Amino acid sequence: MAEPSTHEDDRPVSDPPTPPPADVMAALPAVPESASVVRQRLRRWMGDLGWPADAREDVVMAVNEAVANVIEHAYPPAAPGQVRVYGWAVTRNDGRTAVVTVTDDGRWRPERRDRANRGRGLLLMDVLMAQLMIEPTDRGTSVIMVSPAAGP
Amino acid sequence: MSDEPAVEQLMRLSWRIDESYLLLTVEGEIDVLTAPRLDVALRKGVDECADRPLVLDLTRVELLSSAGLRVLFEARGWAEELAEPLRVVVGHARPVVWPLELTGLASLLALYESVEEALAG
Repeated sequence: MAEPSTHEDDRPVSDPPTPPPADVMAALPAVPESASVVRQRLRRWMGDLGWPADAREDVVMAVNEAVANVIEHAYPPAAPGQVRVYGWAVTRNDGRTAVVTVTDDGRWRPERRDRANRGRGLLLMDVLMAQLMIEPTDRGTSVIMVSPAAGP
Repeated sequence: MSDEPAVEQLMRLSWRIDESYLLLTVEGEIDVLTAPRLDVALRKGVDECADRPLVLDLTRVELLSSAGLRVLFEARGWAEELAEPLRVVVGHARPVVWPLELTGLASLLALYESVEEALAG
């Protein structure tokens, strides 16, 4: 019988990957209850940093949409996987910006049903954030969002 | 200490039933977890409301996600089949008005600034 491999790719599923250092993190099951946990952590994080309320809520709204996408579409209903959210506050010349990633290990399936509403979620993310990047692969999807710069 | 809010606390619904109208007030957050509950409530409201306006008060909603937008869009569709369209009170609540405007749903719904205004028709 082969020994368990120690290579990163072959680690057993139960061993979560080491997260990169981030200012705020969540690694949660992709179930509906997790969306509010993510929002609460983001609000606390940005509140502690003194983020202006409207800008903070825009980030929370956009990240919530990305998380909801994972909950609703990334995994088969019987087998929810994980949704991981990492955030960083980055200071630039024009103010402070939040960079948030939402990652899953599922498959971004183009859903024929519910397409109209999927469109609404993506539209909200796109309009609320200064930059939105979606990277679907066979092994999971990463959404990377950069908020507009909020005052100094 | 758990940082998970109790499900029932995340979104609270309350009904006011009158001869001349039905009023459903929503407080809290409408997301993937809570939107189905709003959906059920609106369906029941529309069913029971064939002869009266159904007014939906969202002024105390703190988050209106696309899951909530979908429920509103669908409720508007069923209500259209009755004599009275759904009347949605949004006031100036940014968490509600902003996503409605961004997605264009604002132009499809009958929006009101206050419950009084909505009841006056």
